[in-house]
Formats: sequence, C-alpha cells, structure tokens
Amino acid sequence: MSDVVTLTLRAPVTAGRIGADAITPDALAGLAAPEIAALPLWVGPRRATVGELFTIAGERSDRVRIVGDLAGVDGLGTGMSRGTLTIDGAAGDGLGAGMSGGSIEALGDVGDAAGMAMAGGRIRVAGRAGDRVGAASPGASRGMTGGEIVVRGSAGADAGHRARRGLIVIGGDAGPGAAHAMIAGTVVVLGRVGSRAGALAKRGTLVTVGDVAIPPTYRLACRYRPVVLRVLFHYLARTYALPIEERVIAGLYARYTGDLAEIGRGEILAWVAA
Amino acid sequence: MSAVPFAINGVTIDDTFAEAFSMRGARVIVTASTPRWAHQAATTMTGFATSVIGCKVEAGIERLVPASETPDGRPGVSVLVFAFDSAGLQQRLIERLGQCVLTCPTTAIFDGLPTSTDRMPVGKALRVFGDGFQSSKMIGGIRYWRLPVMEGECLVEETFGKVTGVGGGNFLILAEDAERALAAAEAAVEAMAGAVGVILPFPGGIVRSGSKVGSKKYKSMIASTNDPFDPTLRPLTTTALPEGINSVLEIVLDGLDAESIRRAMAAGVPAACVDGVRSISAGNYGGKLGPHHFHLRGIVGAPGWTAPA
Repeated sequence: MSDVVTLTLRAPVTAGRIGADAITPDALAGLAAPEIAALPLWVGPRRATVGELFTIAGERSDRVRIVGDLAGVDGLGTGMSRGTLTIDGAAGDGLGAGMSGGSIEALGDVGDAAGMAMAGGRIRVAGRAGDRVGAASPGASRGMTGGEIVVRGSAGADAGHRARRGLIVIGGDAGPGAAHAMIAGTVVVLGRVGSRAGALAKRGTLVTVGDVAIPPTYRLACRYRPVVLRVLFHYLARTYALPIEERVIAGLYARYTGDLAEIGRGEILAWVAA
Repeated sequence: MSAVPFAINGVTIDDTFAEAFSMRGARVIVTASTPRWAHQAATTMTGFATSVIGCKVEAGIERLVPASETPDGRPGVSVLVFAFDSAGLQQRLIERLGQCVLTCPTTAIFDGLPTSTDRMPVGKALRVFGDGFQSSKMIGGIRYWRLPVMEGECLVEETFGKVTGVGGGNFLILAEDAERALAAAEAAVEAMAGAVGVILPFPGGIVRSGSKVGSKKYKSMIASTNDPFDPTLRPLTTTALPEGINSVLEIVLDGLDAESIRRAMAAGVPAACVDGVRSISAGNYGGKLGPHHFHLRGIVGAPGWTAPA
C-alpha cells in the first residue's frame, strides 16, 4: 500500500481522445500496480490499458495523482465515491461525472461536463471549465443532485442546467444559460453572467456579482443584505480559500423571483453597487 | 476529605461539596448586525429562565462571540439553555427562539454544538412560520432555513446539538453583612465571566433566595426558603449559620459538562474570599440525589485534600 498512486502520461495524446472512466480512487484503492496497469481505457475507438499510456508509481491507495497534459483525457473520476484525485495539469470532459463522494482537484483547465449529474463530493478547478458544469446528462431530467463544484476561473454555457441540489461556484464569468432550468440548488457567479441566466428555473438560487441580464420572467422583490450569502461566502473563503471581497460578502443584493414561466420559486440575487 | 481548617484570605473554605444534577443542554449562537442587537436578542431569550423549578428552563449568556468566530461573520452572543429532558429542551428552544430571536431585528440563529450527533430539529420546526414561503440552503453540509420576515429574512440552522450537561453547581458566600456579601458575589461573578461552557442563570449571576426541597408548611410547594441559611430565622430554625453571619448569597452554575463548572468555580470561589466574608460553603443533599459532587477544597486546591472514596 502506498500513500498515493501517481499516474504520469507517457506522451501527449495525439491519436484521438482517451476515455479514462476506469481511473477512479475507488478502483485504484484495491489494486496492485500490475492490476492498475491492466485497467482498460479507450483511445478513440481502440481499446488500450492504463499501463500503455501512463507510468505507474504506487499501488493500493485511494489517493490518486495524475500528471501530464490531460486535456484529451475524458471521464477521470467518473462515479467515484471516495478518496482524492489530483490532476496535475489540464483535464478533458466529464471530470467527476456522476461522482458521489471524495474530492477532485484539477490544477489546470477542464473540459465540458465537469461534475455532470454528480451526487456528492467536491470538485475544485484552479483554471477554467467548459460547458455544462454540474449539468444534466444529455436527455436526463436532473443535473447534479449534491456536492460542490468550485471553478476559480470562468465557465462555459449551461452551468447548473437542471441542477436539483448542490453548489456551483464560478470565480470568473459564466457563459449563457447559467442555472437554466434549475430545479433547486445554488449557482454563484463572481463575474459576469451570459444570457438566459436562470431561465425556466423552478427553484434554487443564482447569485451574481458581475453584470447579469435579468430575464423578463423574473420580478424584482426587494433590495436587501441576505445573511445566507454571508454564511455562504464565509464558508467558501474558509473551505476553498476563495478571495471574496467584503463588499460582496456584506453587500446589497437585488432579489428577483422567478421564473414566472415556471413555478416561480427560484431567485436571482444580483449584487448591487452601493 | 480533611478536618484541617483551610482558608483563602482568611475566609474559611468549608469541607463540603455542591451537589448537582444532570440536565440536557444546548448552545445557541445569535448573531446580528451590531453587538447591541445580538445582545438584545440574547438578553430577551434568556429572560425568565433562572430555575427549572418555576421557568421550565435555565438559560444565560455564556460569552460574547467575535465576528471572526461566527458563521456569518457578524458579532454574536453565545447562549446556553438547559432543561430537565430532551423534549423539554427542544420545546423551550422553539418557544424562545421563535418569540425572542426570530422577532428581533437583524438576527440570525446558529447551533453552537456542531459536533454533537444528538440533534434537535429546532429550525425545522421554526421554518413553518414562513407559511410555505420559506426556503432552505445547504452550506457545508449544514441546512439553513431562510424565513421571510417583514424586515427581510431570518436565517436559522435546521438542527441544534444537545448534550447531557450539569445543572445546580453552586457555592454559598457567608458574610458579616449584606453589603459585603453582595460585593463578594459580584467579584465571584466577575471572575467567572466568559467561562466557556458555563452560565450563571440567576439575576446578575447571584441568588439571594436559595431554596430547600419542598416545604414544611405548604404541601403544594416543591421548593421553599432555605431556612437553615436564612439569618433572620436563626432563633426559629435549625440554623446552619455560624455566629457573626448576617447575610448569605449563592452562586448557581450550569455547565455543558462537569469540568467546565469545576473550572469556573476554581475562579469564582477564591474571588469571593474578600473582606467581610467569613466562609464559603455549598449546597448539597448529602450526596444522595445528584451524581455530580463539586468539593470546594478540591476545586481550590487545598493542600492535603483528597477526594472521598
């Protein structure tokens, strides 16, 4: 048993994307190095093994570190339920999709669908994220149902699409469709938010600090200082070392309720410059 | 136990013990936009909470909590609440938080025993004040309820921890006159101010009307004046007062655990040993009723004192 299992990409990915659903702390926790090497991967349409693409150091640990430019490696941490997965570089699509526990830390940018339909655990992204952070799988009625995703940089479209529970924090800007059709949960965007923010949301909260276009199906309720945001921001600062300014923590927010095209129990809390 | 006299500043520390009982306790952190309003809410919710005998609950302010320590980064006050049993504790919390803190401008209500696995759904009960307009938020694994109110929103944590605490820790200050008894009691309270895990539930932390169990004359009374310690009754009853004692005041302590009470008494008893005080004693029932015994000499570190077998 080792403290950590380290997988290092042998060479940059050039022959198509790699499907790496098999690489999870759950799986590696019980495997010796030769067994880890034999785990199946996909390189485009071709079957391969972990050992073909990665060097392996350590064994039988649910602390996993992956090194290299993994922007073309998809599905890392899919369905994981425990342990830690550190990605020392960029990661591809579907990072932590469907995970229910444990934590993932990506030190670079990540692709689309990070934390898609996740139910628990934590994902931290030091860089940017692609589209559909914490969103629903294609055709599914629910996005993430629990857990936390914190993206330090910006994110693409449809963050939190159909999310049912859980927390998504985007430190930079968010693309169009943030919290679109959200069922419940919380999406926080510390930068600007694209169009269709909160459109068709049933419940849940979209917190915005930068510019946001409020959909016409939302109604202004009031301006106030929500204590719940103070608790949330202090938690984020404490847990994720997010640098959140006092003007944001203690600030004035306009509360818009909607989407009135749905049941109207959602809200957009939009920071207001004093 | 030791038969050797022991004194602090010339004040005899009686070789006796305070006898205390197990109670169910909770800690509530009330925050507000300013220290004034946090304190106002805490003061209101701890009113009429001196003794479970008549108030069904004992409550008091434990300490002021700086903004750097509260979940919302605002100034707060820590309140301890004690009741005889779990059901009573939960009901009293719902009543007092609902009537005294929910109503108070700018406040929010947090659990102060987050590591306790024994939980009470207090916020869950309070949420219905929102009449269906309430909403919840999960933050860091904790569920909070946002109750819409005319001012804006009141935030309350869904569940509160409870522990088996200790009620009825005490010591008695036997003085030559009422003025010096009060001065000594004030000094003791001051020395115990901010003790973690402890409250002094009586007015200003001081009791002038210590009681005995039951009544000699009125059968319906579950407690009545502690006549052995009443100086005005010295010739009329079996007095416990030595000559020269003309006033007695009592300090009562409730704590989240026995050690907290012990630490507080270790600060309070010596502080009460001032000019005009003859002795420090404690109330007990012979050790037959309460499981917690706080031996005065053991607490103050009397030389040669050993715990009874």
